[in-house]
Amino acid sequence: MREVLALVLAGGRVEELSVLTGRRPKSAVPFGGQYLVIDFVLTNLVLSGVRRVGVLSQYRPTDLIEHIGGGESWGLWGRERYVKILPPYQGTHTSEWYDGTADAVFQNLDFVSSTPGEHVLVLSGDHIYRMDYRPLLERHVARDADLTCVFTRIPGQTGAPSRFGVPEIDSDGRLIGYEEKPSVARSDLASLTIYLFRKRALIRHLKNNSVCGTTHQLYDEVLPALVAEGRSYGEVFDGYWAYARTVGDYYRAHMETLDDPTLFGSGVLTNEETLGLAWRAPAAFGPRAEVRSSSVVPGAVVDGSVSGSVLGPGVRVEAGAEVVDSVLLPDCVVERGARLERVVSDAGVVFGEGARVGGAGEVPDHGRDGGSLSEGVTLLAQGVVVPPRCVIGRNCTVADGARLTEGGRVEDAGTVSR
Amino acid sequence: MRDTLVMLLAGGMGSRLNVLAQKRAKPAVPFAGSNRIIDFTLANASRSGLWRVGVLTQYRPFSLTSHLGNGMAWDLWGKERALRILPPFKGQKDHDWYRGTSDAVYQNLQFIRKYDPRRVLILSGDHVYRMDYGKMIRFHCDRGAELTIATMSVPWDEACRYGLLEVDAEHRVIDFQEKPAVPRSNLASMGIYIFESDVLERALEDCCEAGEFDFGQAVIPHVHRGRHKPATGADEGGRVFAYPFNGYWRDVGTIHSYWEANMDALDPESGLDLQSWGIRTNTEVDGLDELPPLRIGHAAGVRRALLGRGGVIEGTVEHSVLSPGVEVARGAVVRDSIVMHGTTIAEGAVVDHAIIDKGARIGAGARVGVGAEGARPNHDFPTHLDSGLSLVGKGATVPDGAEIGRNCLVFPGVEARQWASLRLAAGATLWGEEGGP
Repeated sequence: MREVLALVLAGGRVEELSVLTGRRPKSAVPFGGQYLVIDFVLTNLVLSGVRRVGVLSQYRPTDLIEHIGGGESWGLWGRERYVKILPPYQGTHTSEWYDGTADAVFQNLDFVSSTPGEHVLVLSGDHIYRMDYRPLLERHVARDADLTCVFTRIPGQTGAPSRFGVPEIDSDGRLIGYEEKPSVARSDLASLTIYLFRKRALIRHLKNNSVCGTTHQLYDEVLPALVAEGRSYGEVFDGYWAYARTVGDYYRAHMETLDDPTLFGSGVLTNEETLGLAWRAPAAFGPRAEVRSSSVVPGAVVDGSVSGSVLGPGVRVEAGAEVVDSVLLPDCVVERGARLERVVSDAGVVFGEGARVGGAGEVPDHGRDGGSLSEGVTLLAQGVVVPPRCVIGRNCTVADGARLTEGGRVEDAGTVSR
Repeated sequence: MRDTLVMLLAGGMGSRLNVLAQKRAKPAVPFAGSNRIIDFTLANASRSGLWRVGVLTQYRPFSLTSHLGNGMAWDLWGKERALRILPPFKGQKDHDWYRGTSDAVYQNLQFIRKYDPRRVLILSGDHVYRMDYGKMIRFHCDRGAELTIATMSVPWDEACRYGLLEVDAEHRVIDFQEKPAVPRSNLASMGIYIFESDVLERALEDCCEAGEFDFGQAVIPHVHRGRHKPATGADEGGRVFAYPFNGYWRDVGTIHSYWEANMDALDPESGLDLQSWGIRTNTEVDGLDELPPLRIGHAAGVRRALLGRGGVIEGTVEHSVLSPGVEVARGAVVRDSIVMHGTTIAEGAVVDHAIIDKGARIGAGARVGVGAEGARPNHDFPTHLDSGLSLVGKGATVPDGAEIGRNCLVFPGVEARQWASLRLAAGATLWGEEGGP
């Protein structure tokens, strides 16, 4: 592939993912049993022949730094192949946190300008999809574009409020408008946060934005300014895409991949050490196991009943326990007689004997984080211990360090904090 | 630990494993789904803080060398860590092939001298066990031993298959018997030896120059008799001790013991507890690291099973070990069997008491392992296949509707057109085009 520098925006906290992003950015949230969210974009880049990748990160990057390591897992490791974490830094004259996505790139302008290549591909590390970026680049170059953005179609969005970036594209594919989270969407297209810039144009606009900008976000300020110059184009991607912006989205994406495992294609690369795939034994099933319509990864030990669920590495479901339509992140333990339904559980949660968590059917959002949980999913933070016989209803959030009592009860739509 | 060098013997042909070890060295034979047999020894070494390992290879090393890679999978890679593959080589006066276990080490004395260790730990790459070699090294040092041999008690009726040791109350070895008809002891050597370097060097020179090339038969008795010492007139034997080991340990040298040890992995009570042992493997080989999670379909039944990643299970799997990437189609049944990487069991097929090597295809409605136990042994390999297990070689095709009895053997790469009839009676062999192991 023609030389392109990729910058992955991986710093997002994403309020709507609630306790899943309590200790890590969204790009480092486990997904699909054995991956982290960022693996999808990194795999796409490698398979598209991109050799130089920078990862912009500022929110609690420990997990991400550990996961990316030296880049070996994606073959981004060598004299001219790398993936570099680009954290905020102190300089002699400046000392700034990243103020927005445009500012994050601006603060790394030295790195961007000193890297070979005429084009810069800026991606969000929070999206889950498979794409070959090479045809995108070919058309970008053929059109002599300053900017090419990729969108997906959201049927029925036109005229309604949107939580995405919404473009207007003319019949030649030229971008004639772009509005972030409009109250009235002018098309049914939504941004996938895939921006391919001509490097010169990007640098010019970033310098400008550093002086004149207010939000310092690429989507708010840089994109509209470039669109106004008339050399920006839009592409429509029609493959599967999951944004997983909310817990409901995250849950639904997992259920969709259970129904159709081909959605994400094959060969997604991850760091085998992060979740312990490198050393965990094959998934083990005991004499009393009943498993259906589920996806299970190495290190899981199942002797209970599991259906419609995604089990992460090291998850243990004991005999007589039942897990239905749930997503369990690494090393959760479901003890005897516990029953889970429509649960998303972060890593290392223990469900004590006879606990009852979640349930079928939708219930109203709970007040405090209004709207962040949907589809009646009950969410538990990393390391929560649910004592024996504790009952937790539907659409609940149990935060990090929350204290629950043996035989206690949390009503539907409840929130338990520390 | 830094002053102990590991020499790992991995050259074995494993001929009793028949076609499983025909194109790969025995240590490279897959085990318990995603591991290879040699992983156990490498993981033990790495965990015991022994970071310099020489692997002696000879027989068909390709599969093994790609598995070992640069040693990174076992953390044997770095400034003070090394995993080195030591194949046979030609020297000015040396012979080119290794003539036995001790000759392999003898020919690599130059490698040992380069690292200049105080002690050398000799290991074998074809055993399944977990052991902290550090404890054994401390045992060795505490006693001022010249040679320490790891041992375990075996049932008396099996003792005649092992090298046996008689020891005194201080664990000092008094006498040896190599596979005796009438055992005087049931303390068996596990083929794990710690030598003081100078003792090893001297004994290897003495034995190999005298035309004896085996540790068990020549080098160990030599040290025990004190023959490696300069003649002083005093008839003093070597300080040889037996280190007692009590954990799970299996030599998976035969088809049946290989199958049994795999089945042990299904039952943590057996002492082989893979989940807690955490034995690393090299997932970069064969694209294992690109496989998605295991998928279990809506009509599937899986019990007492180990299932590797990337598998798709729509049928029934009962008391079996499946490597990564195995597909069990709807209505198919796999029972009491081992199925290796990328094999497909098509709709309605039944696989019972069988070992199916990588990339094979069992056709729709085919039946493997038909009939009762106690069937006649394999006609061509009566000592390899006599316990009722049938074996389907790598990449072989069993056509739709075929029926294979007990103790049968289908050669690697056999294609559908090579089946003259769809029935393979108990004890029969379907030969491939390349000839036998």
